Amino acid sequence: MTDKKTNPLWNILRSVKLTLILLSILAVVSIIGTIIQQQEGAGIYHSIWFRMIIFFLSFNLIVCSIDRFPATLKLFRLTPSPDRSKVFEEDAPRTILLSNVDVEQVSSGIQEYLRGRFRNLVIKDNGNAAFLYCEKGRFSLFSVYLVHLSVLFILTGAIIGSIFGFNGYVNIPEGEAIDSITVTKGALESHKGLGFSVYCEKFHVDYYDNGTPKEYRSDLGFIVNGKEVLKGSLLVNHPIKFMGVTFYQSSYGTVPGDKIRIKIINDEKGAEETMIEAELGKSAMLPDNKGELTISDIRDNFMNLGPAALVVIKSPEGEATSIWLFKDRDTIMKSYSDMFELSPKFNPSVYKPFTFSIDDIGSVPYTGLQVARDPGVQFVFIGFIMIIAGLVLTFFTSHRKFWIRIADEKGDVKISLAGMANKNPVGMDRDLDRLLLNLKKTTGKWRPND
Amino acid sequence: MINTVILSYITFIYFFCFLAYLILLVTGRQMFGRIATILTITGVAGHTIGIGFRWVESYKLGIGHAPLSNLYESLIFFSWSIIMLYILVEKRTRNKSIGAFVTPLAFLSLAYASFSDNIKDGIQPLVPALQSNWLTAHVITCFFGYAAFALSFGMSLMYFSKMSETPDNNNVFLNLIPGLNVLDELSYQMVVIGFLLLTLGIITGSVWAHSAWGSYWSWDPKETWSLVTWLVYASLLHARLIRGWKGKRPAIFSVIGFLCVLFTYFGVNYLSSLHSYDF
Repeated sequence: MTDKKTNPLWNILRSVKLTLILLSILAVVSIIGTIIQQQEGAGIYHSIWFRMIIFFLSFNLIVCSIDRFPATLKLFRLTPSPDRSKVFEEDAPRTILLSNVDVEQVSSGIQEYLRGRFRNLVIKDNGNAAFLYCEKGRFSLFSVYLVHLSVLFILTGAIIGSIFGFNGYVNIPEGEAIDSITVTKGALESHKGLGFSVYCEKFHVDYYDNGTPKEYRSDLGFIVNGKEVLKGSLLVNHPIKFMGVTFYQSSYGTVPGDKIRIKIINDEKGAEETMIEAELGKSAMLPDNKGELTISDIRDNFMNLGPAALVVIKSPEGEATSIWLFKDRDTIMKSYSDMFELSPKFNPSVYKPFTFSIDDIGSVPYTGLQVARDPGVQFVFIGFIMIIAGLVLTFFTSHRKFWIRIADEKGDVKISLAGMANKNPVGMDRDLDRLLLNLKKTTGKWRPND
Repeated sequence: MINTVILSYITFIYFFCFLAYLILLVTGRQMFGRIATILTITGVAGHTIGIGFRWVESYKLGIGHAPLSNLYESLIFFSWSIIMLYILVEKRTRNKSIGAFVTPLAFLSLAYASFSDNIKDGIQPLVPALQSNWLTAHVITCFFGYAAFALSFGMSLMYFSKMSETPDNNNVFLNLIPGLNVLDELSYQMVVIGFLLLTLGIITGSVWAHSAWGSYWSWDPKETWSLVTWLVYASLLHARLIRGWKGKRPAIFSVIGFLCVLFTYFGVNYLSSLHSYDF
């Protein structure tokens, strides 16, 4: 212990000054994070050095606890001697004076009163006076450790979650199933197989009369090895947990469906317009039997230029031409005016004499799910309960020690009352006043003269 | 709607409360203290009725929910919490001078809710994310916590003015303010209550976020600022309980803490946030 006390590093690590400095740094860096967050995402909070601050704070907390715990334990084990005289030297001593009573009788009467209401009653009689000691709230000495332990629980839960858990998202179009999700870690994204499939039967949105959304609901099925094991409706605030993975309703939208309507302009026949409808993977004849068109791909967002479809046109001679058709061609033209001439792959007029464009891509609603697994969350929630219990005990209970002296004073019996608490002296005073009042009531019975 | 009319009248009552407490402090005449207390109790009774009406009206509209769901309703509840807590403090301390420093905060909050053009006072239905029992628990704990910090802030301002008192002073104003030690202790008690409630508020919000989005903490600006506020008051408590800070320094910290509360409440709306009241 002695070398610990002189070790300058230990002295720094155990100081509350360091705690205050670290708390301030953490606060300032967090503030900076909220200001730059708009540009850079929540990156700062996942950076190594932000974690270092939290690590140092936890370390400081642990060292402080190790440093102080033995003293607390000593206090906890110690029962003060009942015959102290110093505690009774108060400015306004609390006393009761009784005449014509027996010291023994008063003493045993008071003992009987104290028993059951207080703990650790200790009695000492030195011939001249009887000394009683009792107390309450001894366990309150540990309450601050409970608070600090709870912080460590929460941080441990966070670490477990970030190592063994994941957080991601997935969009499931109506009528489709997925078996993998996109996992996000900071700014990084990766794919992750689930080991089972999730099927979205339907996605509903309900509205209030004024048009604000009332309910988002996905009717999901969970499929393992081709068999539907669980069916359920997923709502906001009502997640569904399946095989350790929890699904949350988080967004919705539409994706292009399988059907597409293509407008064909015949440049030779005075811009004659024809519409043909085709399905993904299926073929349709071009006007005047001038070839056959097949939709071979439909993309939701191709090259970041919005919905697009890949059509393959087979000429009557058997020659194939592939063209990407963009739905938002007019808007793209505004930014990249020459884009459709650059490559024949993007040129909608490359197959003479026609010019192709997408008139409509059918859309299918999808549900956007947040998907997470967090094995650390139990620790965090236990930490939450501990911190509340710890704070309540820390602030609203204290170790209160009471001394009572029953002495003979010129034929009368004088009862003196004193007390000490490790915190909240105002509450201690109130307790002593209450005890005095109650002792007066109790001893009133033995006052034949009053 | 009748509730917004009632609540806008309560704004004026709170202004008169403030005036009455102020006149009490300036003149030292107890009569004004009695008037102030009666006005405050009348005000909070009307305030409670206004909130109750709003609650009932939401059910009549078929979108029933506790009136704790948007900026308007939160300001109304914040103001109500401040006054309720203040009445308890006045009852316990039997000192009315604190009212002059606290009622203006309740007045300002209500005035902002009632008379700002930016604040929609209509009863809105709850969007899916807000349809949770955690909403009520989260808002009540947070705003009672904020109210306790507001009281501590008021007491800290009183502490600074009391510090200018000289031993031979005959200033009625300063004479009526409680002694430095009493202010210090009261302010500390408010911080303790506020800290406990803020902790509960953060926790309820966190548990709610976990069931709504699958993440109990996502460093959203409002979350982060609530953590900053928590850290400021945590520092104050450590400094006081372990390093024995008393008086001026805790008072300064309490002011800084309350500024953080205000930023958490209002300032964050200028940063992008899940909590930006109109999602």
